[in-house]
Amino acid sequence: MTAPTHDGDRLSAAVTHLREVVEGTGLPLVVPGHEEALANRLGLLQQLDDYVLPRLISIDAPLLAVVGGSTGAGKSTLVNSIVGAQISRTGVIRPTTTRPVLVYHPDDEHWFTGSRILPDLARVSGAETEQAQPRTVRLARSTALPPGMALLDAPDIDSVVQSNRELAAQLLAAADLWLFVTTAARYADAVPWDLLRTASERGTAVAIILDRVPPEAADEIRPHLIEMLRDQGLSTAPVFAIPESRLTPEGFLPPDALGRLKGWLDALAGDSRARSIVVSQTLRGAISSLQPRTEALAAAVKAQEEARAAILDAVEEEFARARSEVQAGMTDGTLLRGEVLARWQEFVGTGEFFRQVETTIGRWRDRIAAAVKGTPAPPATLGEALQTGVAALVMSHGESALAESARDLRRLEGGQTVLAARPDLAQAPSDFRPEVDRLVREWQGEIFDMVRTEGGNRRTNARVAAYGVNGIGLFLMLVAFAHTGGLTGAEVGIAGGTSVLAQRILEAIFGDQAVRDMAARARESLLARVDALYAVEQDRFVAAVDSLGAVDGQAERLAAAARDVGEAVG
Amino acid sequence: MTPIRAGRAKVTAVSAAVLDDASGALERAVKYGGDELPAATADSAIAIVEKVRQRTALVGGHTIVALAGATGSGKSSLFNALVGADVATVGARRPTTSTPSAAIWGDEPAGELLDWLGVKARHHVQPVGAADGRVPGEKADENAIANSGGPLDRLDGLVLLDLPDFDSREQSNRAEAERVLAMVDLFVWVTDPQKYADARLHDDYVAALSTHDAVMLVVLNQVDRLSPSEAGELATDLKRLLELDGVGSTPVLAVSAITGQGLDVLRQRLTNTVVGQNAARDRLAADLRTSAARLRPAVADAEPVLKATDEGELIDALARTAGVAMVVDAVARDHRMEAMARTGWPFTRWVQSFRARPLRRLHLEDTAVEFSDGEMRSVLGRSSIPPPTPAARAAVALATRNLSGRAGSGLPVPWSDAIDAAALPPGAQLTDALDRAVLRTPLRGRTPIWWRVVGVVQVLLALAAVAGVLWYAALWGLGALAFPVPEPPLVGGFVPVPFLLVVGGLVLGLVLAGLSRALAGIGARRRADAVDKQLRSAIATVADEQILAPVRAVLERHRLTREALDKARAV
Repeated sequence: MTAPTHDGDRLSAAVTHLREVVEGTGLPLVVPGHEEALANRLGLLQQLDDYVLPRLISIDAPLLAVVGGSTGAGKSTLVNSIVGAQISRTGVIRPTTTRPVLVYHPDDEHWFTGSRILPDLARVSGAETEQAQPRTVRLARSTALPPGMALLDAPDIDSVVQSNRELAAQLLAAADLWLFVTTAARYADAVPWDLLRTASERGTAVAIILDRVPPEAADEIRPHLIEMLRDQGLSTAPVFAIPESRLTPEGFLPPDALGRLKGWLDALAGDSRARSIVVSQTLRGAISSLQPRTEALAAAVKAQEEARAAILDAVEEEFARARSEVQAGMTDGTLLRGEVLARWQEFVGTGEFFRQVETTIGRWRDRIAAAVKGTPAPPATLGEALQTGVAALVMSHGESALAESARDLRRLEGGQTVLAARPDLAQAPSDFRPEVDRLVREWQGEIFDMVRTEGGNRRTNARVAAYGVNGIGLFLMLVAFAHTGGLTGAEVGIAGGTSVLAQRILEAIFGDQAVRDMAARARESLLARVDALYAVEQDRFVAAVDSLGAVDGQAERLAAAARDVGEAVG
Repeated sequence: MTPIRAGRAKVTAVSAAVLDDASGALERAVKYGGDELPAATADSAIAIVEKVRQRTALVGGHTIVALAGATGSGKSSLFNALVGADVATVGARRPTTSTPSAAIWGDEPAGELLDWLGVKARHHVQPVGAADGRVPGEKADENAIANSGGPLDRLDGLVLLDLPDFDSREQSNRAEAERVLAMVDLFVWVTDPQKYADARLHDDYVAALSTHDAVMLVVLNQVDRLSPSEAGELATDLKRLLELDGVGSTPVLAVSAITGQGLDVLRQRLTNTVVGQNAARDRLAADLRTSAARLRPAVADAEPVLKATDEGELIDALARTAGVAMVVDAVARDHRMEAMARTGWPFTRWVQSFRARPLRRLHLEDTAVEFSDGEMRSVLGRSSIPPPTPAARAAVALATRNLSGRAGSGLPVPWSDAIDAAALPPGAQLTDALDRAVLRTPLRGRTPIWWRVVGVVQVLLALAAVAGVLWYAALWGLGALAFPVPEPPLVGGFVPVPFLLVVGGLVLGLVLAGLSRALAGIGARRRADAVDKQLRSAIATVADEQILAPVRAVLERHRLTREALDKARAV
């Protein structure tokens, strides 16, 4: 191993950093393009682990040639024939090879037994067994192979067994050199050409082996294939045609059919300069492919961030609307209609009677009120009506916001993922109703405290005592819900009619300005409490989205890491 | 697998009427489903319905058989072997065939059919005898059958198509193959020992068409390249893969277009299909089945049933919005005031007339029952029930949402969205409807008889009291004018009659007024209850019209879609 240059150090540090960033990238929300993004992320990680990082660390490791191609193309027969031993199983049943076989010269063993490359595949050595062992690679030593070159017999790229296809793609991404095996019947298939296009884009070194060529068709197929390769930008790839021929009794291709390919491989293995050219071509290609792939991943992360922001915005909007509706409901006087109005009129007798009352308010007022209905203080029913009204207002808008947010989740991209993770979001929590009741009770308590504090001095104390703190508190609530004005026409008649008397009473006790202040404070306090309650509910949604993994800034980190790699390459 | 066996593993004779029914059902399902079905799937369903119409409209008993497969599997060789002439180009250069070609057996004109298929290259197969021996290496028994007026005779009506490949780099080939595959009656998947396990064949075609297993054959070509034991092994493995695709009953035929091995069996299968004349309908039926099955997840297995309690919550909320409690309260107070005005003590009765009548305040005074919308709105305007509080409005929204939530529970999202939309009528419209419901409800009942009786009695008692007073006044006047004062008659020899008249009239009047007041209270409660019931039923009608009916309509549409799909699926 030569000492890594300074640039090499920098590059491997940058790539290592990129790997960390890619691994830390979360793609939790199922949005359009999610599958591709996941595959891209996995592919990036695997190629970094399987190929780029190990190759950067030990540039002198043996060249790894991966034999890949379609099912039934004769990959295993080819490997067996090159090595001259039955290393990989062959047969007519497709797909034959389900477990990759790695063949190397005994001198190179130390390169492959550890987890330097393909760290997520378990190593198995010894004889081939029948049972399928997923995610393993079988190791085989062979002196027929020159030192400095290892062959990997990969599973097929296009059979019905999906795990084979995925593993093959991973192995090809780990190759210094692709030995791409195709046949006379297959050479125009779409699947292998998709892979070859990728290889061409990434600058991977490729050699094509055209197997099973009927001798009479060789002159027609080979030029056609070379033409297709040129179209694909792979004109430098050597093409080895192997005629369709009867296998030797041992199941190998006859030596003369294999001659050219074997010679080429031996020459490559023996010439360290040629080898390093192949290695550095593929490595350079792989590294320069990192940037566009990372950018694609960053775009996917961006899409995630956007989906997440859209969800949070929608939820925010629902609760903001609920908040403003509550505010509107509190200040437009409509709370004082209906139940509250009826109870108030019950309390003060007929509305008509008290509407004529002028400014002079004295002690006799409550006596008359008491005489009219026989109820000394504002009846409990008035307080209840007010309480129920406020609670209903807060609760119904809150529940609306919850229900609408859940609907937004169902509707928006990625929202289903959140709902799947937290199905309880689809419904209002069971403690929402008691929470609202508690909120209103606490607010009332605060109003009473306010009345007590304000009415603390001796002059007002007696008057407060006449109605009781609770009574004054109720008046204050009435005033609070009607004080902002903005009422027009008939509404003044109803809401105004309700509160005018209460306001007169309060003004007589506390004074004009104090009443205005207190009403404003009462309103603000209620709004603040509602805000806090809604914020708790909204946070459930935010927490659910966050629990899937935060993605903030990941796109930028990915882009930066990819840029670092690009700069390190120079 | 003997050639004697029926051509298809599953013999399901689909009659033209059944096919028509199913196609109609699928069309209805798409119509009922409307926007709630995924647009792409619904469009393809309509395309299938249209295809069924076109195919069944084409006269003639042709059976369209397509040889489909990967490039290099020998479709064209097989086609030539079956036709008995070198019609299709066979070559080593891949892909070889880029446009479909057809071979037609029999004299029936097939031009219209082939135009529909869009196949330009057409070849009319020579009658028996001429084609014999053109098939290289044909076996002796095959010749025997052919000579004895055998299979080629009975292939009359067969339209055999050689399709382009579906797996090469030429995307246009694949598109062309798929276009034609959508229209054929019998699929013959041609594969070979190299490609028989390809994902493209199994995942993209065979498994995707697994409902078409009745009109499917799999041909393993090029078995001449294998030893007999290998061929058997391979056929078993192919069978296993087909089972995984969900078409385990599909026959697998091992043939060789080069040596002619197995061609007799294939030809026999084709003959059976052509003679049976069911393939076209079977294929279309399978298309309808697939399409319906693909649409089926867009509807649920059952519709949620709306329960009375669901409506109860909604009606409660609407009643609050409509101010029912206030109206009922006003009715009770009105009743009491009216009763007092009629049966109260005549000397204080007049006070009542100065008090405002609660119902008049709400503009609900008139007992009008029936009037047209236009009249009511222009002449009477709206009631003066105060508009609903935000809390009441929100309660309606919540009740509606709960209702639509329950109605939409378990339904796919588009349907539950449709229910949500149906359940939320424009607010103003609902308020109007509620107001009208209240206005239309008669709030005043008949005047009870006892009011009149008591009223008359009260007048009599008052008159008696007045008479007593006048009597005393007369007596006093006579005395003052020094006339002899006549002794008033005594009752019981002790109480003078005028005294009795005054005191009795006053006391009895007051007692009666008190009694009437108590009775009026009971009456008012009863009246209030009755009005409450009437108002709620009027509101229930509104709820039914404005909210429940649209919701039920969506649910009904869902049911019709589901039933139509199930019907189409069962063909």
